[in-house]
Parts: sequence; C-alpha cells; structure tokens
Amino acid sequence: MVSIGNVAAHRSPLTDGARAMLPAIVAYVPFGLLVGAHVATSPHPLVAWLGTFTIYGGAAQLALLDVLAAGGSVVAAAVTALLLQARLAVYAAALAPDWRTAPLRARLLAAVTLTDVPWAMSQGRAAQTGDVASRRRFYLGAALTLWAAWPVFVTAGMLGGTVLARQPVAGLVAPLLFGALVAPHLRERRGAVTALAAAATAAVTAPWSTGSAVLLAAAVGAGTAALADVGRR
Amino acid sequence: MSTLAVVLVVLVVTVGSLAFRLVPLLGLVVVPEQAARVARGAGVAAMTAMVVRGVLEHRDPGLPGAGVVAAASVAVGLAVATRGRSLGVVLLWGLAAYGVLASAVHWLT
Repeated sequence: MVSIGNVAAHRSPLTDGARAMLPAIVAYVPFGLLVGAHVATSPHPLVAWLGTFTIYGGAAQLALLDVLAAGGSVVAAAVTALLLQARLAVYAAALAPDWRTAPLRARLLAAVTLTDVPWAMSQGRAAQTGDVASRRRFYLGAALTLWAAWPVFVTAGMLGGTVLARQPVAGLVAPLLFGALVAPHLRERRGAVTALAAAATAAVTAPWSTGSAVLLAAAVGAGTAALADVGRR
Repeated sequence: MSTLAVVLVVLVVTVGSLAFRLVPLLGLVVVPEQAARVARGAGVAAMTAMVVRGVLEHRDPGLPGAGVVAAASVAVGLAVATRGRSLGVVLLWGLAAYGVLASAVHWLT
C-alpha cells in the first residue's frame, strides 16, 4: 500500500500519482453516491448531473442542490456553492509557482482537474522532491485518476446508491480522508499551529454556512502561517 | 423552480469554479513564492475546517452521543495518519473505531 507521507518512486511520476490516488478513490465512493442520490431526487436531474462534470466539486454541488431543494433562491444557491469553491483559488495559488513554465494545455488540464485531494497529495510530493517536472506529472496522475472516477460514483449514486450513502458512518469518510491529508502537516510547528487556528475557527463558526466558515478558517490559517513565517525569521 | 433557473445556477457556479482554478494557474495573476507559501497554509486550514465541520455535523439518530463517538473515531484516524500510514489504513482504523465505539455505547445504554 502506498504511504501518504512517503510515496515511493515506482515507475513514472504519473503512475505514482495515479497509484497514490487509489485509496482516496475508494474513500470517495460513499461521498459520490451521496451526491448522486441528491442528483436523482432533484427536480431537474439531467442538469444537476451535468454539474458533476462542470462544477467538479461534490460539496458545492451538494450544497447547491440542498439550497434549491429547501426552496432557496437562485442567488442563495449560487453564492453558497461559490463560497465553497473559493478554496480552489487558494489551492491554485499554492500550485502556481510549479506550473509557471508548463505548456498552456498542461496548465489548463491541471486547473480543470484541481480539487482537495490531488492538491494535498502534490504538497506531500513537493516535500520529497525538488524536481518540478516530476511533481507536475505526479499531480496530473493523481488528479486525472480522480477526475475520471468521480462522475462514475455520482452516476452510480443516481442509479441506486442511496442505501449505502445514507448510512451514518458514511458521513465520517470525508473528515477521515481530509484528516489523513492534513496529518503530515501537523508534524511541523507551522502546520500544527495553522491547523489548530483553523480548527478553533471552524468550531466557533459551527452555526455558519459551510462555505463562509471554511473561507474564514482559510483566512485565519493564512494569517497564522504568515505570522509563523515572520516569527521564524 | 424552473429548469432555466437550475441551468443558470449550475452555469454561474461552473464559471466561478473555473475562474477560481484557472486565474492563478494560467498566470493571469502572478503569485509570488511567499504568497504561494501562505496559500499552502490556507489550504491546510481549509481542509482542517472541513474535518472539524464534518465531525460537528455528524448525525446518527440511533446513537446517543454520536458527535463524541465521531470525534473519537476521527481522532483515532488522525493518530494513525500522523504515523505516516496510508489513506486506506487511516479510513479502516477510523471506521472500525466508530463501529467499536458505537457498539460499546449501544451495549452500555
């Protein structure tokens, strides 16, 4: 099994990325089924399903459908989903230095397939190798694997994944998955302090909508990380 | 809710999501190394927040103290992850911990 913090170089970095993503793909199954179950119950399932490909963000798609199902306005649904997706700008900004010299089509592919887990895995890879080209290929291997699998899970959920998705334990898969990706950062003082500040912010903002709370936690985390950098100098 | 309204929402969120992804990576905004480093901290913070919210929002109608059981299970998963174990192992430990703790709570109550 491939270790999170120490992905061994097997064949090519592209293959390494795809292999590293496989356990996460399994972890995404209940979440994909849950999103698919919501898509199936939407008054406009075809449009909702197409969003799987175009939005490519399960939490945002789920939030959008939930707001509309609860009778929320078009603006409320769009704002909620966009607040959730705003973290992608942070991930893209963190990736940008590695992709400055890449061809345009590669940068487009990296952007379109960008989401939480491939980003976090690429950060783990960055800690191991200084070779930018290798890091880019690793990221693409991981990101393309998830990008290909995600619509399959959502479609399966539409066709009958509601039983598995509605098991209470399925709700723990996402926190465990993200926790596993955050854990390597906790070994460093900067990462631990950043995570602690974000966790406290998330706890205090529990009654808020997820999008706003995550954005504020990201901002607090960014501030804490910047202060930690200043303190080290 | 009309089909057109749903199409409009999906379209707006699609365009917004693409912009969030594309603008920094296409170099439309130059991201200095220091800013990228801070952004990495923000990314870790965003993921941490999603972990905390996932636990706080956990519901299990048949289980008293489901939130505490969920927090303990995720803590077990985190402890395993900090030892550098794979995602699959972390998930197995976390979900198994939930099963064991939930069974224990049911037995005690």
